[in-house]
This record gives sequence, C-alpha cells and structure tokens, in this order.
Amino acid sequence: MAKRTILIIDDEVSFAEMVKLNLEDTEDYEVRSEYKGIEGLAAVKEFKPDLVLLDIMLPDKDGFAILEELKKDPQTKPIPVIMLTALKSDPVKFKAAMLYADDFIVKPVTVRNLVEKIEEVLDNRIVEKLKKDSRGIIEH
Amino acid sequence: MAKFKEAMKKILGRDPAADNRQAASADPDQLGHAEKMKIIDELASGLAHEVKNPLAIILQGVDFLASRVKNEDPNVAVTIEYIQDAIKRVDKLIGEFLDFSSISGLNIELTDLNEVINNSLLLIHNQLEANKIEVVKNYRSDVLEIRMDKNRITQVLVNLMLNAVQAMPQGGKLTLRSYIDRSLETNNGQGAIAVAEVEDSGIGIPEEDLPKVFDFFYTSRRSKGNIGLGLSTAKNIMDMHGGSINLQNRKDNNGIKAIIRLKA
Repeated sequence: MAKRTILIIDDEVSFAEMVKLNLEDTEDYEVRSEYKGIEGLAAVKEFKPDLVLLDIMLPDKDGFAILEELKKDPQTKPIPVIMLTALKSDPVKFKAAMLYADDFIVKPVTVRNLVEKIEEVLDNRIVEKLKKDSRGIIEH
Repeated sequence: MAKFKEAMKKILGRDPAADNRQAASADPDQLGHAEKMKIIDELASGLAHEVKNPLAIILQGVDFLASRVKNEDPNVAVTIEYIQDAIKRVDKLIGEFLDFSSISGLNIELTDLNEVINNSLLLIHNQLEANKIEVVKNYRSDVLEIRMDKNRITQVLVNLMLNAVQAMPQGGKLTLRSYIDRSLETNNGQGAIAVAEVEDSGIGIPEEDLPKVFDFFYTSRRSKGNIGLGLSTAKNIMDMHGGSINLQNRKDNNGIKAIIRLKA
C-alpha cells in the first residue's frame, strides 16, 4: 500500500521533527514539516498531502486563518486537517469546529494516539468519498 | 528571570512590569472580579501553552526512544514508563488548573433569555436562509432575568441551532421555545428552572449514539460529512452554570429536541 502523505505545520521545530520521525518510523507515512504559517499554507497547495497536522499559534499567520483559507479553496477543501495544539479551551475547539477542522488534538500526545486519530480521520474521509461517489445509487 | 519576563510578555501580549507599575499606583480593591478572573484565565492558558509544548516534545521523544531501546535490563522499560507517567501527571495538573480558571471566568449577569435566543438566531441568519429553514418562535415573557454569562449561553444556542440546520439539508422547521419550569419550585420560590428548547424537523440521532453526542468532534449522519459542532463545549458551558443540556429524539421521530436548563 502506498504511504500516506502528511504535512505538519508547527513552529516548535523539535516537536515537528519528532512527530515526523515517529510517523515515518511506522513506515506508513511520508511526512513533510513546515515551521511557518505562510510557508505551510503554500506547502499544502504544492504538496497536496493526504492530511495536514496544523498548530494554531504560529508566528506569521495563525492556524485558524490557515484553516479558513484551506477550507475556502476548492483545491484544498477536501484535505482533512487535524488541529494539533497546546491550547486547551472550549472556545478554541469550538472555533476550530466552526471552521471545519476535521479533528482536534491537544498536546502532549502519544504516538499511538496520534496515529489512531490520523487513521480515524483518513478512514472517515474515504467513507465520505465513497458515499459521495455513489450518491443516487446507494441509499444510506 | 529575563526568560520568565519574556514568557509573561508573550503570555499577556504586553509588558507585565508596566502592569505592575499601574497596579501599584491603583487601589487593588478597585480591580473588578471579572477583571481579576480574566487575568487568571489569560495567565493559566498562556502558562499552559508554554508548558505543554515542551511536554509534547518530551513525550514524542520518549515514545521514539521506547520503540528503539531493546535492552535486556528491565529497569530501562520501567524507567521509560515512569517518565511517560510523569508527563501525564503534569499534563493532568495543567488541565485541572485550566478547567478551574475557565470556570472562574464566567461573567454572570441578569439577562433576558429571549433576547439571547434572538441574538443567537441573528448570528446564523445566513445559514437559515441558505437552507430554507422556517423559524417558529414560542417564547414566554417570564424569562427576563436569568443569571447567566450571555456570551457563553449564546455559544451554546448557536451550536444547537447550527446542528439543527445541518440536520435539515432540504429545508425544514426550526422551533424555538422558552419558558419557566415550576414543577420543582418550592413555596419560597426556589427551584424554578428557565428552559430554552431548540427543535428541528430533520434527521434524528440513533438512540445508541445519543450518549456519545457530547464528545468533541462527534460526527453523525445528521451532519452529512461535517464534524459535530462542539456539543461537548455546550455541555461544559451548561455544567459551569450549574445547568444542564439534553438531546432527545422527538416522539414523532421527526427530528431532535435540544433542551437547556438554567436556574431561574
């Protein structure tokens, strides 16, 4: 099976690199990391990953603004985005949900939980795509 | 110390030394409760952010080492487990501190519940029009002075209304009610409950899924591929008010009725 491609956008360089190392260690993922918002956004458009792990507090463009832009652009809208942040508050989660984030993970997170969440989101997207492709043929 | 000051500056978005100078010249009793709580909330969330990031790096690092170290010495595995447990303990402690500051941060005032419902409606008028939703209002006039944080309760109602809209992609009816439930009221006027209901005519929720709807990012067929819009947030806010939130399928199986209750 082809490796899933993941882009992590996080200004904590060592965290982004550790996540990259751990995910690639599973041999199921190919991971690219970006440390700035604007560059990260450009990388999503260029790299078209299967999934984006997105921090919220970034130095140049915050994660919410990036999320909003990604979900408005028809080219990037289908790419699932998991917010991966140290911010833990209901309004933050609420805002992420309102902007159509696919999921929300609060740091710190174990590799096992991270992989589970990534697979859950990717599986959901496959099911949704199948449903969409078969709309009008199969009743759900 | 310089690093700490810098962190505080980052946390507060301003120079804490300047705050101290201002505070020193001011009468501390003049600082309002809401303002104090706001500062505690800002400090807590900022500090949590600064601590959680390094914790996240440590946890990822320990996980990586655990996957690589295959040592016959059983103490190696035990030591890694100790480190992982310690990280979880610190994280839990920060979480509890954050929850406390967040609860303390409610800005309670006497508020007209009907006005809050109408303001929530205004916030989603685009979605209502786009989805051809008919709105039916059935408000009682005795819900004028309810103790609540109106911004937080608006958040709850918007949340419920958006979920209702999502459940009616082909259009439908959104019914909003408010009233006072006096069934538990005592002779001295205690125990009355202010109730707001948000009812849709869309797809219901499978009974077996109802206990899960308050999990963050719960997704159901109602949402047609979109994520759940934070019913967990709504529940937390109602808990913070000492109130409650409940979702039930309508008896005629034509949609959901969401009910929030606050002390009247």
